[in-house]
Amino acid sequence: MTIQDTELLLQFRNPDTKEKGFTAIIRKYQEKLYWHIRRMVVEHEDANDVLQNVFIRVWNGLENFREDSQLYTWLYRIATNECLSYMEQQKRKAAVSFDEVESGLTNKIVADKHFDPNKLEWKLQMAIQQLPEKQRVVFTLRYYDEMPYEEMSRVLDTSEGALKASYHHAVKKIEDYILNH
Amino acid sequence: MNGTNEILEELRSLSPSVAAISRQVPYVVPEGYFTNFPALALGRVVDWKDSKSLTYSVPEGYFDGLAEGILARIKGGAGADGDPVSAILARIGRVTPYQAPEGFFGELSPLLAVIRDKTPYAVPEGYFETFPAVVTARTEQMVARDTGKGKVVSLGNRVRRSAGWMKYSAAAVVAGLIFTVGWLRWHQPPGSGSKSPAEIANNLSKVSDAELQNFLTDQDTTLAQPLLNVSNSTATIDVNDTDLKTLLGDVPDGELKQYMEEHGGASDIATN
Repeated sequence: MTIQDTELLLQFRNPDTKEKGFTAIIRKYQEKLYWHIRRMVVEHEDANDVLQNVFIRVWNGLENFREDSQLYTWLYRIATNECLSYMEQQKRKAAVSFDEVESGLTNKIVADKHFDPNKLEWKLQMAIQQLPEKQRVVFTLRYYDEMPYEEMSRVLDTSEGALKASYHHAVKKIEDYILNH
Repeated sequence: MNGTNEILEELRSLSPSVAAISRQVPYVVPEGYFTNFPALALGRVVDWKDSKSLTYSVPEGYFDGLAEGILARIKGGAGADGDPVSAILARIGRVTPYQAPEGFFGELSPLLAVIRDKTPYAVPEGYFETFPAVVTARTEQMVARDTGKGKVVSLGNRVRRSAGWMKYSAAAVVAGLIFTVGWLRWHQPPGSGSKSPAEIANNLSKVSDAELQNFLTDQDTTLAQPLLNVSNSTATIDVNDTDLKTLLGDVPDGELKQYMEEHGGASDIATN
């Protein structure tokens, strides 16, 4: 727990400064969480919805937050769970309309007005969307957020060994995709 | 962030081609999004709180003393014949409004139709009269225990005590059974199971001839058949003169002669 996070929590727990503390927490973590979510759900509108839901959960749970874990880890955990729930909802909707979520995400990438199929960065995004959900989360947390396995195991409740294996498989699949597309 | 090099090295060892890709995310965020987001998120939280609080409301001070009030009513025997826990429920009563079609149970099973209203279980006499008091006592015990005044009885003790009671009961039942069977066997009158011929003859002498005649007349049909069967049977007894002499050896000649005179056919019977 960083000193700054402890101070923010103290502010939040004081009824007079609760909203001020909450706003400061949002300011500190919004971008990191936004990109973590955006890489998973692709579209800005979806990422915005999920991010708002994340902070509503944070507001509800922060009173009972135990400071034996880092605020940063706890926030990532909520954001990841919220992402997975969102994608589960999308899957259910897709099942009703006989659509597939993966192809839906790929279509969303292609529909982005900045999409350029010749750029590797976009190809990488396409490759990430081909991965199974868990591998997608592990890859983005490691590759983009540079999260150590130890911390990731607290976020995802998975052993470090399993995470390493997951990351290894994800990288190989991405490499395969990029070389063949 | 620490470990950047370590992560890059790991990626290079896994896939140099993926490691060579820029980590720049190609997505774009609308301008000013992050500046406005905190206010937006806070607005959502406030909306959410309002929507929650507007759903239902309770009268002011409703929860103050609610727990104490309920506990006081339980202690006061609420729910028994006196003060009901809920006046509305008490007014509605316990009659179930559903009805089965007429004759439904009869068609289903005639046996069920007969027994459906008969509960085979029984409760100890006065159980329901004392039950509210027992519950009240238990409640008081719980309250006392919760406040640290009562004696804590572990579940293990209760189980052990009840198991001991069961053991003694079973032993008493078995002992009672053995004693009863033994007493009945030892106090059975001698020969009560079957009577000796002497006793039968003695008893028959007390019966009048008329009664015997009536009995034989009544039993005529049942006795006639076996006798008929005997007369029709092919079984015979071969008795020669030597055997006859041996059989009648102890009978004096005078008595034999008298018998022959009375019944005739004396020439057929050899004397001693």
